[in-house]
Amino acid sequence: MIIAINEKSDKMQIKYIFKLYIYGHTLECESAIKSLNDIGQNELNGNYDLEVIDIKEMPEKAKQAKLVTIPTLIREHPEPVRRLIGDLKDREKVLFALDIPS
Amino acid sequence: MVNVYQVPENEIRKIKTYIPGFDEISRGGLPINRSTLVSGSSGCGKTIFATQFLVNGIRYENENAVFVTFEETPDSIKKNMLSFGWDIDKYEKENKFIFIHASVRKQEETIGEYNLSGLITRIEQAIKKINAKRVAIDSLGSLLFQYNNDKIIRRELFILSDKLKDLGVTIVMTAERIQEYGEISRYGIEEFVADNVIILRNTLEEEKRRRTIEILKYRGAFHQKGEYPFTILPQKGIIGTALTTIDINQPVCQ
Repeated sequence: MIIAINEKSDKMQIKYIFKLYIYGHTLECESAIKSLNDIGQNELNGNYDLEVIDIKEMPEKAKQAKLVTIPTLIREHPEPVRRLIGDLKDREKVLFALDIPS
Repeated sequence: MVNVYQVPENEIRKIKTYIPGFDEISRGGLPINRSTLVSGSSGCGKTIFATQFLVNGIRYENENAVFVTFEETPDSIKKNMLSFGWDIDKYEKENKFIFIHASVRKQEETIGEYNLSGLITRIEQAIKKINAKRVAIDSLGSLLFQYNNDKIIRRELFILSDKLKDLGVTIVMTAERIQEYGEISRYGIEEFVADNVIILRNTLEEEKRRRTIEILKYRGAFHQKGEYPFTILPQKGIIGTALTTIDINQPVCQ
């Protein structure tokens, strides 16, 4: 029996869970949000959850997540948990860092 | 301690460090509500100076403290400072002292522009939580090394300084140097983000250890010029050793 494995569609079934920490709606933060939503829609086929946490509104979250830089993206699922920092403008780099096939 | 110096009307006020000898050569302590850089080579006592400034604020002025550390862990600092008789653990439990450990992250990739508002927010929150008046940041070199982007870090340090001054605190920032006589700091940036600069030196002259402190610049305030010797003693911390006759009758701080 030949089992065809489509690696790309396998990845599509996994739900990606992201937490993005921002501070106000600066250019860097807006850029990171846009970049993630673009990737989520196009590469992940909508199989993602993006929670945006603004530490300007909720400063106590900064201590909880032990933040230093903003924006900080945490990919909670799939594991292993990955942390990226920056405006995430470079789409290819983001995909590579998150192991998402393009 | 009695302030024996006449302070001119327009001079910036100072906050006492209670570090024996230092308040004398600085004519009152550190400029209040400003940032002071304490730069020195490895082992010169800059972390001790910063900690002593904070601890003495709690002991003698009822002023609470926030300590921001990058490389060294709070547990390690607390353990080391115990040898000077400073029970920082107790102050933490009494909500007089807060550590912020902005630890080095090994697996964190950088993609694009960023700022330090995460760290700045944590520091602001800690200051507000215990109404802190004294803040130490140890060290700027660690921050510059980890984030490897002079432009961003310099900009963010100015923002941090402004925000902390708005909160009414006095800041001590430490920085590393490689030589005892030469560049003020390792990255050449550290002294530009501070209002005041102090140099600690630790030289070996003919097999004798010679520790000195020098106030290089105080913006808008007077101070004694030149190097002054000090020593570091168990159960005491930093003690200036060239006290004049004016000060010999002062009680030594416990």
